[in-house]
Amino acid sequence: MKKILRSIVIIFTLLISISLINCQTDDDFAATESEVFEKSLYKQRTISISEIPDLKHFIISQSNQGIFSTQNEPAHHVSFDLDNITEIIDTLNNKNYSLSFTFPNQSIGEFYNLIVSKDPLGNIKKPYVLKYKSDASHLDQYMENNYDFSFFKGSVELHKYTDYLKNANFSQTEEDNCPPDLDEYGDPIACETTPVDGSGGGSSGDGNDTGGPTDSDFGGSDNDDVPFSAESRWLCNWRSQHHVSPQDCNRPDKGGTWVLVITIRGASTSANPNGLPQTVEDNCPECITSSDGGIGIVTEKTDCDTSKEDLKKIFPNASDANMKTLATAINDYGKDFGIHTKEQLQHFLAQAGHETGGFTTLNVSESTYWTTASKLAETYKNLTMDSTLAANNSDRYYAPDYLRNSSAVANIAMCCKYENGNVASGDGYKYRGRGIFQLTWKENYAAFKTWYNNKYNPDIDPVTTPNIIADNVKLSIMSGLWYYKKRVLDKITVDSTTTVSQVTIPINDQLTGIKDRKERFKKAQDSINCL
Amino acid sequence: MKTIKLILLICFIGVIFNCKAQQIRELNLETNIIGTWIMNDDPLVKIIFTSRGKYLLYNDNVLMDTYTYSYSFGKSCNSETLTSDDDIFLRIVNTSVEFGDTICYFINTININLSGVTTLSLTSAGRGRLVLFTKQ
Repeated sequence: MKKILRSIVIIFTLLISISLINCQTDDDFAATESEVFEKSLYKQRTISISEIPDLKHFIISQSNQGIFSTQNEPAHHVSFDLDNITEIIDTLNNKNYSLSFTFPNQSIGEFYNLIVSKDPLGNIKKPYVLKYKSDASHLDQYMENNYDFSFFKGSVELHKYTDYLKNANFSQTEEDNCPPDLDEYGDPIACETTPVDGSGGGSSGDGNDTGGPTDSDFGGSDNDDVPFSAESRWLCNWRSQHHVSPQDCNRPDKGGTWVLVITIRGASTSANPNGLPQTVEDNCPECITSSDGGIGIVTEKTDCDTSKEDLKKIFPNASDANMKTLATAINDYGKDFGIHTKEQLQHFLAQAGHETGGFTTLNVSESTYWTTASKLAETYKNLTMDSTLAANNSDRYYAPDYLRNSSAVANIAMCCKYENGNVASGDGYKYRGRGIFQLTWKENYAAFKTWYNNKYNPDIDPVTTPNIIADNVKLSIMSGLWYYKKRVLDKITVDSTTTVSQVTIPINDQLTGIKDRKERFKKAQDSINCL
Repeated sequence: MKTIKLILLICFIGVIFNCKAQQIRELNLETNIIGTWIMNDDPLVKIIFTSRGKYLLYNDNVLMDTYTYSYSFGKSCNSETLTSDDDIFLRIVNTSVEFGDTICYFINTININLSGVTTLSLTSAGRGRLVLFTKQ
């Protein structure tokens, strides 16, 4: 009996030990996974094509001017989403861009991404195309969830860019002729396809590397093939960093997203739930083993980005859309305008907030609409109540004739200064105040145009079409950032000792609304804690 | 006699019409700018031009800063360059290092209306913003 009891105790002890060892193994695995999230860092943002003019011109140079046409010309059966290009700056400071495009007759559940990358020296690498195809059995679920990529199940194909660029036109191929190369027997090489399961957990392909496309007319690189190996997995991306626990990925309101990573021989291509893949090189353990994986570490923090929610605390009556645009402008371009510290941003928000009534409107424009002739004559020396004087002097105008006529009054009041032409030129009204700081005078419009063209997009021309400053929310904000740089940051030091009055003088001269500006500054201090 | 009465009546009517036409009378800038002015858009803002060339800026009755002011006739004020010859700039220079800048305004007009209200109309040079003051 004792022997049996001893055996039972030994067996029980062994079971417990095995169980404990097993648990320990699980913990180790969990720790390894955690390390992946902590180590993998890259920066991500959404931009428009106008912000990457060199890539735009490069692509155009390889095709033609019409490739990005929004007119859907018959010759170009393709439509690019030019306003939502995903940019990933990987750990090696390569910039990788993913341009989503569609064809008018493409199947439901299919989408395409053109991937173009630049190395830190600005050399453009050979582009390629990823084609995503949802499995028919999962297509309904994918559609019912508004094309949320986490519900995507299907495959991804790697294509040479030239598969879609035929005779300088970007068009849909008749068939899935991915690498149109022939094998040693003269047969077409099959497409390289990777299974993708958007529901998480990762999946692996066959791991074969057929070398992918081997030839391209798309110049700019002396690299050989676009490398490709069939392996995909999911990483948690939270506020552009893989450093939080995976469950945060299920909180989109907290900035969490799942990122699908497809390893491509050292580099990786990932797709976020918006269906836009990005090329990354993350320093996860898996990538270290890849053949060409130059691994680096992004040291710059990005978790101090200004959020829409931060701005809503300062401007509660502003629309979500405007605050989102403002946040994007601050995060993506603030440094270009000299905003490097939280104090510089806080002062900008206080000033801009006052000028726009708390960002309830981004199209602030000074009124030249007058209903009382005597008031009009009191205000401008060229307008008079003396009809005889007006009749006998070419530069005097009879005020009663200019009531309820904003353009005529502006043309008189703002003529002949700062590159504005004479009254007949109409420049006074044409270059009236627009944007969050009321950009005024032709000279200022021209200076802003020059700056913007050199920095971002050479095609934007506010001198020819000044209304774009008012009509385009982003440009309205950018004109304000430019004005703030020019009038404030270029002239005075803004730091923790700077007062609201000191900043207001260059903006508004007379300290108008100083109380409101101070209140907004206090709110900005409370909401913006870092930059 | 009848003719004389008619002439007198015509003269009287002429004077009336003349007065009517000049119900807004432009004032001499240098003498009439001196005094206290309240900004129409923000009554908390008060400026004082003194006869000794000082420009005092108040906000909510708190003296914010003291400047000197002068006029600039012609094409430029500070670094601001114009194309019109007959513009008059009001040049306001900060006397302290705190704000450290020169502010330029176009002087549109300074006038008094029939009600005795004196108005100063300025346009800020760089920004083109209209600023109206009423004399206190």
